[in-house]
Amino acid sequence: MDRLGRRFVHELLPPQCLLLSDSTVTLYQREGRGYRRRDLFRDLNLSTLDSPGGRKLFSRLDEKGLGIVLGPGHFIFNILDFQRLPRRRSKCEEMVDWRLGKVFPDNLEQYIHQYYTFGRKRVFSLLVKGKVHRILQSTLGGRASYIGCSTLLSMNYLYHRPWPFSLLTPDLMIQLSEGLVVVSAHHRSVPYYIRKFKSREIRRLQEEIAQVVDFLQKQYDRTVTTYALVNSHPEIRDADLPDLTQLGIRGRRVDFQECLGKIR
Amino acid sequence: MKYLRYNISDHPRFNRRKFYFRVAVILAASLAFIFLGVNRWSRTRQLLVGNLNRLEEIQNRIRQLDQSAARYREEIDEKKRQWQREVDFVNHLIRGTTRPLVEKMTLLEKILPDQGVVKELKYTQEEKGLGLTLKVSAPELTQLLDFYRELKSLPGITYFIRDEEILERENTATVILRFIDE
Repeated sequence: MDRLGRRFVHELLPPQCLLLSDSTVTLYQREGRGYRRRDLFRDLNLSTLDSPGGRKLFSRLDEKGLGIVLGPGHFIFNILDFQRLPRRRSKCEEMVDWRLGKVFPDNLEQYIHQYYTFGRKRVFSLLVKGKVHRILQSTLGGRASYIGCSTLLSMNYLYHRPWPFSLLTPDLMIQLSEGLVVVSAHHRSVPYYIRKFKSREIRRLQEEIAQVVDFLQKQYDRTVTTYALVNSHPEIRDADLPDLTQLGIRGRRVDFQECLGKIR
Repeated sequence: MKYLRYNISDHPRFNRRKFYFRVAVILAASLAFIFLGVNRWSRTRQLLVGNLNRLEEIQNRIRQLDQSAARYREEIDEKKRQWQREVDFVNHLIRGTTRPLVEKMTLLEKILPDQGVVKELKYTQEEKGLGLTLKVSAPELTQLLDFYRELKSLPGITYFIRDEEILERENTATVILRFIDE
């Protein structure tokens, strides 16, 4: 039923989306088939949505549906490799939870856990605190018809491609968010490594990426040749982004608003 | 990579239009398949019914042929019954003339002396049966005597020796045989 549902039931694109980062909220509104950035609200985040600033933000919104996109700071990403996952969903879930419990110190019950399997061997797990969900529900009520993750939207935008185009996707996805950088490495579109780190200075990003590229070469024996830099930082313009061609990898830059069109 | 669907909202809004469109496409495809299937089934059925009718016709024809064959057989049997007595009588006549003669000649052949030569053989129809004049020659006289002895032991035959010619290397005897009818 789950698979059938995924194939047949699609979500309605919300006409407006809010990207919640650590200290800013960006408003995107639908324009044609995609979204365009309309406004930026500084000193506002999930916990201060009830403040006057938040109320000002909500006054700007249309009465129509609303989508909330959470920045990578709210999530914990994990990639787990298995010898072979069971076919039954319940067994598979049990195994993933057991494995995650071994690497994750907190109580899993406080989190909303969702995972995606790739070829019955690899699992991409996503944890978000239940508190985040509760705050959003209490602040927005039934208004938010979509609460998603910016990293997943970026991944879908870059890697959800039919074969053989899936072979031509970038080896590295770098998502630049407010104060945070998410780097995920993919082989034939399937993620095999993900890392999230804080990077207050844009200059240091190049060094960090160089370290990741080196690590991937040593640990996974994979050479990174292409990358895609997704800019979901509200205040960094594309011109300010570092040039990674010096590392011997070529790539392209993607504005996050392009990725929003991938909401399904 | 497959699409990673993620929405933790408690009030997701579904795209009903897209859903109904897909359902309509699937329904239309299903109906088309059902229509094609029914169409094909009815054509096959018509073909089958036609074949069954033809089969029934052929079976009827076979039945008619069987009936006429039985009728002809009955007619033949009737004719047989009518003519059997005559046929039996004629067969009896044929058996009465030819077979005994052949049998008797076979007997004579068996008892002829070794290296003996039949020099003359003549039939004569007599009052009580057949008469046969047989002129036989044998290299030894004893052979001729054995032949007479054998003749004597044969049932339904009487004989007498008309003449004998005894030479050094050839002994010839002319014997008259009478076959008495059974």
